[in-house]
Amino acid sequence: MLRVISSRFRSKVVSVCTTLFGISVFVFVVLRVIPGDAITSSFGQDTSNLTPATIKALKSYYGIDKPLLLQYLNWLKGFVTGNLGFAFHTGTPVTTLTANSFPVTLELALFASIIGVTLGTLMGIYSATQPGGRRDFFGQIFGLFALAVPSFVLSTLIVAVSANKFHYFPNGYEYSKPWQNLSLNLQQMMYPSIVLGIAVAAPVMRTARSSFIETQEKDFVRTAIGKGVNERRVRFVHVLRNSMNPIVTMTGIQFGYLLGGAVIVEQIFSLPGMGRQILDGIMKREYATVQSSVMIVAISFVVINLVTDLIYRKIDPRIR
Amino acid sequence: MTSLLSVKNLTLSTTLDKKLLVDNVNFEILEGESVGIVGESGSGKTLTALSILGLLPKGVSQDSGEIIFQGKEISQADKAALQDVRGNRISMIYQDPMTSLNPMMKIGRQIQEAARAHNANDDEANVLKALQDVGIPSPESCFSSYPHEFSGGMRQRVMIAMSLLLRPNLLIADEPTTALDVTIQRQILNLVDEQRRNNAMSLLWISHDLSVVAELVDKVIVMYAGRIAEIGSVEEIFENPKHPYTAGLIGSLVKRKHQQKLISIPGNPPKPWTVANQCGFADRCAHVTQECRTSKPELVGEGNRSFACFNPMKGALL
Repeated sequence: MLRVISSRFRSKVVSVCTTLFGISVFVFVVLRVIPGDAITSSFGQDTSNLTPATIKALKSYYGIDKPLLLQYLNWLKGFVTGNLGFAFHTGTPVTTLTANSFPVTLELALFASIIGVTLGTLMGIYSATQPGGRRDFFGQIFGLFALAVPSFVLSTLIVAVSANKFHYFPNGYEYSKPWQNLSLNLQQMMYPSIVLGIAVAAPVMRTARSSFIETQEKDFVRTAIGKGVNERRVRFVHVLRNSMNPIVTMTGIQFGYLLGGAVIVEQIFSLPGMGRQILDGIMKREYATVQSSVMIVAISFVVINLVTDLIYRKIDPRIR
Repeated sequence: MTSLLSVKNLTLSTTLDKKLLVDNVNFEILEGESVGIVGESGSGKTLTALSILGLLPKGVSQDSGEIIFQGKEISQADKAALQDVRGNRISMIYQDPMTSLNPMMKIGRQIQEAARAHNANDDEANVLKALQDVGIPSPESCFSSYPHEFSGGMRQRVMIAMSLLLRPNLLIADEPTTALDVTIQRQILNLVDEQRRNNAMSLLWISHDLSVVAELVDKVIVMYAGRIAEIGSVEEIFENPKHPYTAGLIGSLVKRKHQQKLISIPGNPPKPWTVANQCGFADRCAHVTQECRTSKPELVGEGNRSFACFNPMKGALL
């Protein structure tokens, strides 16, 4: 038994490491393939006026004068030993940048997931009680709407309405960390969480709906009804629990996406999260920033996958 | 004996395109009586059983008919009334024990849930006693196990314990041994029979196997293509079958003594909706006449001995 677990664990570790390595290579290559480098992003049009000697000096300063493989290995060595490199435009360590931006993204992802999963699951159940009926119609309309409306439209709408009609603009202030001013922080998080929550709710709703429709046809549900158990208990105890696995999977995927940073929403609500950090990094060709940030996001994704696996085990006694 | 359950003019069809599935079924179960419904797959026997508890699958609806239990109509009753009857006064065990228990709930809790639904005694001791009564070797460990840790036969025992917990007046058994090994079948059969006698309850046993039914019941209802072909006591059905289909069923039973060739009924049963206005058995019947193809034979005779055939079998078969 122990051997089975350890061999499964080992193959999991191997596959995770391979994936992470692949991602690091991919990001490294893509960053070098896009036109321009740190110098052109700093000097723009003036790059052509620089003398070869200056360019050489700048290349050496930015650390892009060495062969690509060496650059990669240097970064990798740093990353593995906990040195994520520096953002050379400001001289700030990427560790510091991430320590500031990751909590923002994590908080936003948590709130958005809580809103999205609750709303999505309830809407899914509501739809599934009457497949093809009126409730299903409204549920499906909601799902389509939430999928189709881009987040910037929804965000703009919320900002416009709350700022214009109610003169309420919490995101007009500088971002407040939860331990600095919890109340302001929550106010600032509210709108982006709702916007992202609705975006998460749509796929969760669709998953919950189909999982529910499938489960409520199962024999054991008929057994429960046949025992005289009331409808609500049948739905929320027997059907819901047995429909949870696909919902957990979908939640894990969505949460992972959210940890990658919601670039547009962070931009609109001026939240200094991971999305913004990566976007800034790309614009300024901050190689170390982008590579390290993407790796952190990828590692978070892996961790979430592991947590999802653990939750499966918790829910379903058959895979313990 | 007084009537416990009577099914009157029950007609079921598909909800969407109104295809006839069960056509005007009438029968009665007396208190303490044991009744069997026999028929092939698609003959409507399971649907008839499910409709008693209002458990029809999605896509099937009751067009007409009454289900009268202890003098009250329950098929049109409100949810609360139906919930009160389900699991409490009428219990059901199902065909496939592998899928009939919630895989994510411990067995003990599933049984307790049946008691709680009716504000009955849900003490662990009571549940353990019920598990012991159906021959579960170690009730304590069963109580805190999940269904997947048990074999099909054991799960069916759990189902039986659950359905008998509240001492129902009627137990409906929908082919509870079909999905089990032959050796286990025998045990479950004996168990249900023993429990029925101990609790003096009525039994409605549904099966495609006439020989199984013969051992358990007082009265047999033979169904064919959504209709009742024949009703009679076990002795009458076996010794003096009136409907050619019943005679065919008996003829196809394996008789080791006689070493004779196994007889089968030629052809396949039709879909009920394709034979709505004729005798469903006409195409497979040796005694078929013109009348059988143009009009539908009604059930003739008294409640406990009746058959639906224009050209009934004459004389004793055996």
